[in-house]
Amino acid sequence: MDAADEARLVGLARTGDMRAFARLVDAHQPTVRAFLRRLVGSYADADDLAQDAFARTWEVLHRYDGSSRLRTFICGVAFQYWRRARRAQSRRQQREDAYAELADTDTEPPARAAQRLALRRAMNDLPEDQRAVLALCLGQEFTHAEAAEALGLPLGTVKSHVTRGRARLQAALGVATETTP
Amino acid sequence: MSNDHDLADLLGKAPSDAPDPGFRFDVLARVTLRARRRAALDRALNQVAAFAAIGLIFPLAQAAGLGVDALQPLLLAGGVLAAAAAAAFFTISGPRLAWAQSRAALRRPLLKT
Repeated sequence: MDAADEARLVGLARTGDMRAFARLVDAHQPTVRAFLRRLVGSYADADDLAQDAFARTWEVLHRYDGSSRLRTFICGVAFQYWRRARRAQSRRQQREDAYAELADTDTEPPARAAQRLALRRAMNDLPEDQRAVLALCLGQEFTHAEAAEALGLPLGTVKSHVTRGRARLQAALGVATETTP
Repeated sequence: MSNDHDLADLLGKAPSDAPDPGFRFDVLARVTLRARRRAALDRALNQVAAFAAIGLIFPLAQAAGLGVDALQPLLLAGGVLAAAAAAAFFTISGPRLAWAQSRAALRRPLLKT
């Protein structure tokens, strides 16, 4: 979807056009869901949060000024939802999530499942902001500037989060840290 | 395994770029649900405010030294106005357009031939 088409759909959605909003959901759901899946770990919880984030986006679409891309705005909303959900989450729920993650690995080769669990543990040990930065910048086309805008962080902080976070994840996998260009 | 895309895939696979009708349906259902909840909250607040105001009339009148006899014409006028407002509200935006439906029911033949 190009920028002009997106701006037109945003304009229609602001006037209450649900079809236009549904097209925006279709266009941006892969990015937002991927971000939350990497952040949360559990696919079901991530999709649940993504749906809440889109529903909230519908309510606050008038605040979107068009200075950034819409996906940046939606990921910012999703990040706020994740933080709120994380604070409300009880320890019991965390244990259930850990069990669910183990159950998800049943269909994978054992080596890859072990890598995934090691990576998830390393990810869970990272500070909230660093996790979010990695979930946005690894494997997605988010630039550091876009991630900074979505998460409300300074650009320099995002860059250092990416470098240090990547190193910690690689260390968890037993891979020597690479220097990035 | 040092590639960023590999790391990202291990952390969580991105869903397909193709539109996901199930996801879209769930989002729109949540939008509707949240709008209904907000409307219900607004209605509840309005009702609480209205009943609180009605409930305040009597203690305030008593404090001002007015008895029930003195207030009777005012209460009668207020009651008639409230009934008219309720009837208008249900006619214009009631859940089933009460008057329109009752008129339609009256026009309907009692026995189909």
